[in-house]
Amino acid sequence: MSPAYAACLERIEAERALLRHERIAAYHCSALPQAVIAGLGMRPVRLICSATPQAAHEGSRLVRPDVCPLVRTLIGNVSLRQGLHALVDIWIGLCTCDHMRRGLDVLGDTLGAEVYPVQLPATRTPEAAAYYASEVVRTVRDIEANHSLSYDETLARQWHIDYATASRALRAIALGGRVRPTVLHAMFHLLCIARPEGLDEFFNQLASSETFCPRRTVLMIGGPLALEDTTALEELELLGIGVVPLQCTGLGMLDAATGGLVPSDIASHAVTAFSRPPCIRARPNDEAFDRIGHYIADLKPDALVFQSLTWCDLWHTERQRIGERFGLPLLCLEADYAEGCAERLRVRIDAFSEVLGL
Amino acid sequence: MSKITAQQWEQRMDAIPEGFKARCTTQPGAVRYLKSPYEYACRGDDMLHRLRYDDSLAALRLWAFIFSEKDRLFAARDHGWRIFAAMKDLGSVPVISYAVPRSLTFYADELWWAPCFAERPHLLEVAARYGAGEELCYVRAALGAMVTLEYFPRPDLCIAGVGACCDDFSAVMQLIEAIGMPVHWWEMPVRHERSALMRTGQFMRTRIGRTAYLESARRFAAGQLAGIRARLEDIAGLRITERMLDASRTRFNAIRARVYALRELVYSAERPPLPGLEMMLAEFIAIHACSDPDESVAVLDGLLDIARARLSLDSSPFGPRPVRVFWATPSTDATLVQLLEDLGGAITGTEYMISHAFYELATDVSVIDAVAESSMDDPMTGSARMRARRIVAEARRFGAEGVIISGISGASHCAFDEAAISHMVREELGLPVLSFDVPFSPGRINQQVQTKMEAFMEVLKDRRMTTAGA
Repeated sequence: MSPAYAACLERIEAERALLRHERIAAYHCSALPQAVIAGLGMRPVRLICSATPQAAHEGSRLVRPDVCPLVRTLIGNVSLRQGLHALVDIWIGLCTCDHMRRGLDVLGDTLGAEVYPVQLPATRTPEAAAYYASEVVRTVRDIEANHSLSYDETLARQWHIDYATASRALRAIALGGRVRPTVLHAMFHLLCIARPEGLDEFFNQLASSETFCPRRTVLMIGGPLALEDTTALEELELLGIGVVPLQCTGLGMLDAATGGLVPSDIASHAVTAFSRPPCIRARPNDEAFDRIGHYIADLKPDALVFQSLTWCDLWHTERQRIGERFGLPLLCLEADYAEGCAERLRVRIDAFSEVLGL
Repeated sequence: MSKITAQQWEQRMDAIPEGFKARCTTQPGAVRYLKSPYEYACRGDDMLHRLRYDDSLAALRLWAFIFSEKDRLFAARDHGWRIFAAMKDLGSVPVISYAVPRSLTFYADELWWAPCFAERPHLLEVAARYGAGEELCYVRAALGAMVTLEYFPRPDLCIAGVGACCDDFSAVMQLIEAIGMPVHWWEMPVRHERSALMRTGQFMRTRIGRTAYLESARRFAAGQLAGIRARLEDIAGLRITERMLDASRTRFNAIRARVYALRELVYSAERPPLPGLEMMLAEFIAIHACSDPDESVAVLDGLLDIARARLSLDSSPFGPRPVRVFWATPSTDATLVQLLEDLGGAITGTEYMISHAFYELATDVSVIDAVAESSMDDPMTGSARMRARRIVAEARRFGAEGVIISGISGASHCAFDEAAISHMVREELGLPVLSFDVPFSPGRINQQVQTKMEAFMEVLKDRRMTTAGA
């Protein structure tokens, strides 16, 4: 483990410890306007972590094993009341896909969690954006009513500004290509759970300590990478391959946050978040393809690495089109957080390194 | 009365009165469609050779009507009609699209049955070549059919409902657009469960289904449906007036009312007057009228007549007191329904995820508003718990002795529905539940599933004897 990676993980642990003293509103999708949660005086925390075989196994007791492992580990962690999941006061459940939507029902109905479901439309029309905004406004009003809170736009605005500042720094670092894949991954996850104020300085310090000089660079696309889901990144790093992560646990979670006007109310925060780079679930999803194409044109990577989660139909079915459209060497990986998954990934990456002439 | 084979139907065809055959025609072109299941089997749906059929003319007409849909769609194209492919909403879009004169609407989703009826994986193999493999449910056959255009001509427009839908079909619809099909995307709102946490939204209830929904979701759905109307106007080059929409609503209400009445008659009878397969086909007419709304009414009237006549004569294709089974989620393998009946059971209640299509549309509001409200009853857009509640209520009402949930491997909702339904049925009704995924098993029933069903029916029979003894 590199010193920078260790430092970042240490900071994550420190932030986690601080969360014990806060009221936490957890969420999963980067399209949630987290600033409005901050505006409620709660702490927005994006939980894409604790993806362990144990949590997946526990989740399989409550839902079938052919449910997306991210949803299963979410259910498993809440059921086991372990880690950050045990600290969560409320869940803002963005209905991003059928598995997540129904998984959130299990969280609320079976496990008794306080879940506020919000539909994140798949279509990208102005009507869909307005509906999403109305869903977010309704949710904020419900939370206010249930927790005797009062939304404060000043708090939301400050969070938005701090988050944008940290995002700009992280974006520049990610595109600079001089930070190890594992370190970069940890930085993104730090941004998921930490207060954004001052994070830009920490990111820049960490980046300046890095001396990584990649032999090749790949764009990483696909579904979210959980904090623990580092096997592919570690293997790529060992081979001297740099990674530009486009997923929603990478640049995808920043692109909307780094520019534009500061929103002025709950609805405009929601519309701004809704306008983030489209995920593959968007319908139609040609913009998601275009976005990959733009990064390829700008960065001229040597290959694409596509990692999706088992049973994720939305990503899985696009592998072929991605391969056909971009004409770059493509490595397809699938993760399920089960024992044995890591070894499978290592073998495939090792084979792929030959394609890249390493 | 007994069920007969496809070949036996073929032998009886000459004896069918000419007047009846002449009445069995569909638009456009007044094409006669009354052919035996044997003939449709010889045209490619091999499974029809293995099935046994109700021996009434009404049932023959039903089978022929369903299996001639392909002919209607191609004939319509030959006559210059517009062809629309509705996808995923299962009941809402056709009410609007049939307002377009000289047009037909079919559901691409229904192609999921095609590989099983054909007993050939051809469409699945084609779909796999375009990115939709075994990880998806059989609905991927719709992609294969869009590529081959063997089952329907190229649609003028595909109308794709996304949002509160299953992941597999959302993926398939995207691949359908990727092969160059024109697609209009619309958002199906999620129907959030009413809970103590949701204090500020205005909740309403649907008039017939009594389903709770957020008024904001219905309003949004209405806006989306209005968008479909506008897109259809563009394609058709005409204005779809309220009067045209109202005429379509009237036709669909005629269908919905008949399917509802038929289900009530058949499923509440001690000895159901119609077999399960015929009922399954009849129920699916409700969603899109099998590409001919007017003929749908005639087909359903025939079934209602025979059901009423049999009830009055205490006549039925079943022996005395068949075991009453509620069936949730349609089986891709139609022979499983037949197996259930061979084992002494009868289907006396269903939830095929189209139950919203049986409820009549409100007539005191605009058609768009009525369809939007009706869509709030759609089991797909809500929670598994809501669907389980509906199943429990219906199973109780129809006196089910057991519940079968036939799942679909790869279907995103099945992974959650099964547990929710099983739990609630056992808790609230104390009934045995059998759930399994239906494998693709061309030419024969999957042995494992057969064994499970045999054991399940033994349990239900033993239970009945125990209850009677007590």
